[in-house]
Amino acid sequence: MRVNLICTENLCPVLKEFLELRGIILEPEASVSLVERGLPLPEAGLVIVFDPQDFKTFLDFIDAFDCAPEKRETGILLGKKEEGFTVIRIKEVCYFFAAGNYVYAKTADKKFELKQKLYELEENYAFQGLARVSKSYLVNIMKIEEIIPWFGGRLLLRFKGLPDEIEVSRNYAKAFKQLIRM
Amino acid sequence: MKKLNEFTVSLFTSGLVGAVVALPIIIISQSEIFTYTIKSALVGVLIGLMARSAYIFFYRRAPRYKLLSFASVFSIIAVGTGMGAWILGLVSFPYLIAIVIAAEIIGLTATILINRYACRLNERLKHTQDRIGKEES
Repeated sequence: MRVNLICTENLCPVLKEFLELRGIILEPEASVSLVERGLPLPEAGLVIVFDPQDFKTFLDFIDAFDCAPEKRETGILLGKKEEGFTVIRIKEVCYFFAAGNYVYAKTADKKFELKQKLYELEENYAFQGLARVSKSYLVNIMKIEEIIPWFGGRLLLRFKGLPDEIEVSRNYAKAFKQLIRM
Repeated sequence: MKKLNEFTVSLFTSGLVGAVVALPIIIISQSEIFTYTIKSALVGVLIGLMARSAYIFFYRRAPRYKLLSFASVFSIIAVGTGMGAWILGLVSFPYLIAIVIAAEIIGLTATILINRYACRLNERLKHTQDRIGKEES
């Protein structure tokens, strides 16, 4: 699929990377245009206007078009850090956590705010090694360096390149152990 | 509340070990069984608490030096049991050695079992990581 992307300078690099990772080719002459709300619309072709404040709807819409499955890289999320957006690969994330109404992704050195809910991430990316370890935490198994048996049947997880330790609560410990076929 | 329950169970287990370890010696030495059993249980609770804290501390702070965790548990049991027995009035050296050996066997067996469980968990983790890695590539 080829699209013409029209957006502001601060959004352009992230969106460009995001769309290209989904196998979408960006071409100014394409007959389909993705335009950020508020910018001038092209006169010809199909125009899709998106609101940068509602990225989740936009991403879901893009994902609904399985443009080039063979070229598409899975496990890509869009994270918000301060005022900007960044493409995050799930394989870079150590764990996701919910705090208040927000969900965050924690990589080795950064923390991003996400639009997705924890259960959505769990459902969609379990095949990439995401596992729920407590009500508010979802960890990337690939990023775990060590499991420490804790008291009362709980487990403590230590991550590669991160000082944080996450506890697997007793309610989730059984499922977690089954996941690693213990 | 759950954590308090777990803590109570842990203290109770330590107390039980303390009582069991000292009981044969108390019977042989014909001391006041009830009083000494309670006292031994209290010493057991104290040793269990200290050994547990030391094991956690070294396991977390120096994960590469697992021997440190074992050494800390061994030392605390040896010193704690020896001192406890001495405070309770057990001055016979052979009895003292017997109590320390019994306490070491129980304490270190528990520590070895925990450590083996940790090794198995981490082996399974590596296998799972390899499996997911292969499935992705």
